[in-house]
Formats: sequence, structure tokens, C-alpha cells
Amino acid sequence: MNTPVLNVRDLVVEFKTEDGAVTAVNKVGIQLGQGEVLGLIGESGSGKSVTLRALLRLLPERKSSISGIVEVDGRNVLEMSDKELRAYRGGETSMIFQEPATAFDPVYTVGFQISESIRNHLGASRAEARARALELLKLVGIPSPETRLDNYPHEMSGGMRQRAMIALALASSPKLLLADEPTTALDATVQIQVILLLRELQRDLRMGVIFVTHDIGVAAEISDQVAVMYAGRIVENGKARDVLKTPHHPYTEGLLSSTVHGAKKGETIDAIPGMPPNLADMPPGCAFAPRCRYATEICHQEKPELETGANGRRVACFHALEVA
Amino acid sequence: MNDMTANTATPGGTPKLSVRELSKRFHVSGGGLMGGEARYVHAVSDVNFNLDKGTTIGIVGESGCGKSTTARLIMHLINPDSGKISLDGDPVGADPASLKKFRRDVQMVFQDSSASLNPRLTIEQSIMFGATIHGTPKAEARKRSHYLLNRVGLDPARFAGRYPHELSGGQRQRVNIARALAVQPKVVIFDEAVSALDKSVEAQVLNLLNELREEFELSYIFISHDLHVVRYISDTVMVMYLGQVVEYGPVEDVYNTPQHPYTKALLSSMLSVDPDDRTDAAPIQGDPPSPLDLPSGCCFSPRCSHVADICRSLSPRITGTRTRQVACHLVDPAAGHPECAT
Repeated sequence: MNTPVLNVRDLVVEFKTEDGAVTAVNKVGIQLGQGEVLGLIGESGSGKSVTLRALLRLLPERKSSISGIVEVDGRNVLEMSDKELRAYRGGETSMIFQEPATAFDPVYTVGFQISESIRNHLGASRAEARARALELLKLVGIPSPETRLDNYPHEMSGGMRQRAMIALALASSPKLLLADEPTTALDATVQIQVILLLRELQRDLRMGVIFVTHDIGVAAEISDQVAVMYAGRIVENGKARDVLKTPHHPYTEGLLSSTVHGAKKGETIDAIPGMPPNLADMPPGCAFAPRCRYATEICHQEKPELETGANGRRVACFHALEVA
Repeated sequence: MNDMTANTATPGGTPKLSVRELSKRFHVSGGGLMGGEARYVHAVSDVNFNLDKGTTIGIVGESGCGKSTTARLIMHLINPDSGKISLDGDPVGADPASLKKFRRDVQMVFQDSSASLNPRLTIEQSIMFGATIHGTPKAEARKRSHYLLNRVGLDPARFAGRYPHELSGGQRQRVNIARALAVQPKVVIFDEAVSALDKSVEAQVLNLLNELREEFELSYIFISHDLHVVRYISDTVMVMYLGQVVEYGPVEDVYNTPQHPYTKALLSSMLSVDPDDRTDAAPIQGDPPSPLDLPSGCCFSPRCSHVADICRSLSPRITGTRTRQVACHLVDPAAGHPECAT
């Protein structure tokens, strides 16, 4: 791998609830090189969005605690002061969200909001910032960008707003882009346009990208490496091709076999039984054991470690080789 | 098209549900006391289809294409401007009694599993509710609700007395399915019913729907934006764009040999799970236009790569057979499109 833009080790995020602490993210480790895309896959509640928010320290400080190491471009994010954080958020690291309508302020024009970010992070003048905002709108493929600059968010269609939000995220030329299901709310024909746009921008600008999605098809389109999360832990991680073509963890295998992609009509889909565990009431052993067809005695008693194998492949399972 | 009436004999007998020339437009502004030109959203224009016993029709299309409005029109949750709906040959909506019977025979499952359950009723009460309204004795309705809970994979001993908020999304959607089946319907409409579920749970629910369809001899109308799911569950598929049906036919036919440029674009937007099989270019650019300002002629013409003069001036008619239809000048020799094959 080339120079790592992101180095995460033993990231633990706990939320304080009335019933005690709940561990939403448990010992997550991520290595991401410049210009590399990590697809973070998992079901709702698996901790993928919490992981992203932890990287920006967006979680409510009184109700959560973050520990571990989060290094972006060599600087530890968890030790930053408030002032450093303000420059870091939307500076070195930007985030795009599922719902662009809520990411923009409805009472300011899109152009104003993009220029504001440019002025704050790059110290540009109003005129310079506006010129740069126009460039960005062109870059993300918005038709007639000169007029769109003065549009309010509600005057744009969903796909266009998503493009505008990408432009906003790129305003300060970030090294790391965090994308939280940015195409999930879009229609199929628009989704593929946005994926292609992100792929192109990421390659041209050499950004590291973490792309959170529950859709394996989306992950396959954009990822260099894939990490699969289950109940707060990464259970499998490796090159996209390796993980998606020859899964080693029973959960990854189950996710792939339970998609209807290519399933024949009338054929029963090989679905994973049951549902993800409650984070406040986790089974003592492997969190997936109650749903796993390979589970044996040990799986119900001990937690498997995330072991690194050949080709940088990491799997947390006592029966990893049986699955392959 | 006009030779098809609800009574036309089909190989399988009378179609269970027949929908003819269903249209609805919504008034947006103008045309009232304040003057100004009246503006309308043409939500659904001239939708026709037959649904046979034990089969599934899938409706696909992007947001705003009218697929959910079609479902609500069929259910008479919104009154259609025009159109005829009949079930087993009986026209619907002529009198309140027929509508009541129809609403028992046709049930609907929605996307938001919690919004469609009363938070103050237990699961058992929710499932029994419809049946008792329609005159089933309570004891019998309770017995049936327990049978159905079992059938959708929820142990009645554990779940019957619970409230909706105590269940996960997947479990709630199972309850909604059980509730829909409690009144012994003939047709069930699923409006994005599995879209909000996690993939592993979605697969379980799809398996369940296939089993239930067989056991209770149900017909399904399955509305979804997920093209993979629609292919898996449907026998027939209807593709809608801006309120109009652009293509209709047996699901494998449409998926393997799409005729309409929009269907082609939609299908090539389907993502593969194989990282070696990536998409290189988007099949179409831009978003669908606003249904408020429909383009003249064919509504797909502004985004279509085969657009010709005729497409901008004349709306294409529906051509084809009873089971396979397309609305495009490209496949209509009479239209004189320059790229038309014959």
C-alpha cells in the first residue's frame, strides 16, 4: 500500500444509555491508502455509520466515549483541540450523507454554502470562493452551473442535490472522503451516475474514500477493499475481489447468498435465519454464532479474533477455512 | 387495446383483477377564483393490466413514476378520474357494498412497517381487527391470528401480546403480512414492502411471500424500485415512467429482451455483485423531469438517445400483443421513426 491516509486501530465507541454502556463499535481497525476506496458493508445497527461519525468526532460527547487511535494524514484525530477539529472537519476530511436535503441549510443558496466552506478552509476572498464554487459545480457535472449556483436546495432534483453535496464536500480538497450511503435514496438510473462520478473524482483527486453501504452491488462497483461489519466488529476485510468472490466468513457468505441478484424465480433464497443481536444483550461468544450454520461449541463460548491471513485478508471466525 | 374488456376470455379463465384505462391527475394550482391557468400533475395515465389467480405482477419505475399512486387508485384510497376495476368479473366501486367487499378481498402492505400498525393495539389485536370488522367471530379471528403468526415465523405464545414498538422492523413487516392475510384476501398489494428491510431479512420475507402465495392461492401486485427483487418475485412486469406504462410483459421476456429505451436504461443500471463486472458508463444522464411540466410528445424523449422529431411531437401509442406491450415509436412501424427496424 502507498502512504496511508487513514490509520485506525482499536477504535471503540461506547454509548451511555439508561441500561449501562453499549458498545456500538468494537476494536475496529482500518488502513486506507491514498486514492483507495474502502467499501464498508453491514446491516442496520452493525456500527458502520457510527464508525464514520467517530472518525469526524461527530458523536455527542456527553453520551458517548471514543477510544483507540484515529490517524488522518499522520495526526491523531482523537487528541485534536476544538479549534483543530473545526479545521479538520470539512478540511482534511469531508463527509457526504444519504439525504442531501438535510445536509444543506434550506435558507441559503447552494453557491453561498459552498463558497462559505471555501472561505473558511482556504481563506479565499468572496469572489475567489464563488469562482471556485462554480468550478466545483462544473466538476460534479451539474448542468448550467452559473444559474444553479444561485439555486436554493429545494430548487434542485434529488440527483442534482447529491451532486451539489459532493461539490460541497470537495470544497477544501479533502484527503479523506467519508460517504454514508450517498446513493441509497437515489433512483437506479441516477445512482449509477453518482457512483461513476465519485469513482472518477476519487481517482483524479487521489482521495481516500470510505463508502458505507448496505448494498453489495454498490460496494462492488466502487471499492478496492471491502470490510464487512457485524454487531460492531469488522468480521472480514480484504481486497474487494477476494471478499466478494470467495468469502471466508459465514456472515459474508450468507449476505452474498441471500441477495436476490441472479436468484431464479420460484427458487428459495438461501437466507440467513434470525436477525442481528441486540447490542445491549450480546451473546458471550461470536456474535454471529446463533445464526451461523457452521457454529460449534467454541463459537458460543469465545470471541474469535480478527486474524490476518494471506494477501492481507482478515477474518474473525473459528471456521474461516471451512467456509472457503 | 380497446378490444380488451374485463370479460375477454383468457386461457386461465376470468382474470382475478382487471384494471382498465385507470387515470388520475392532481390539481396543483390555478384555475380557481384567482384565475390563472390550471396546472395538473398527471400522476397516472391510462394504466391497463390483468392479474391472474396465483400470479404476481411487478410494477417498476423511478420515484414519481406513479407506481404507488396506481396501487392507491386500485385500493380506492384515492378516487380515480377514470378507469374500470373489476375483481372476478364484478365491477368495483359502483356502490358502497361492493367497495367494502373489494377492500376485504384486496389487501395492502406498505413500506413503513411501524406507521401501518396501531401503536396502542397488541399484535394479536391488530391482526384480528380487520376480520372482526368484516364479521368474523372473535374466537375464530383469534385462532386464525395465531395460525398466521405461526405461519409468518413469529411464535404466537411470545408475540401475540406484544406491542409494535417491541418488535424489529422485519418482525413488524411479518405482522403486517399476517394482518393482510387475516381477512382472507384474494389479492395483496405490496408497496415497497421489503425496501426498508436489511438484506438478510429481505430474503427471509421474500421466501415467505412465495410460500404464502402458494398456500393461500394469492395474487400479488408487487411495487418496488429494486429491479432484482421484482425479477425474482414477478411473473409479469410493468415498467412505468412519468405516470405512463412504457413496457409490459412476462418478466423474463422484458428483462432479457427489453424493447423500450427507458427499460433498457433502467435494466442496465442494475448493479452486479461481481467487482470484475463494473459499469463503465451511465446508460442515461440526468434525472427524470418534473411531472408538472411533462415534455410534449413522448415523455422519455428528452433523455432518450434514439430521439427523433416524431418523438417530440407525438406521444407513442401502445403496440404489441395482449401479453407483451411497448409504447415507443421505435417499435411501431406506422410511426415512421427513422431508426425503426421494419
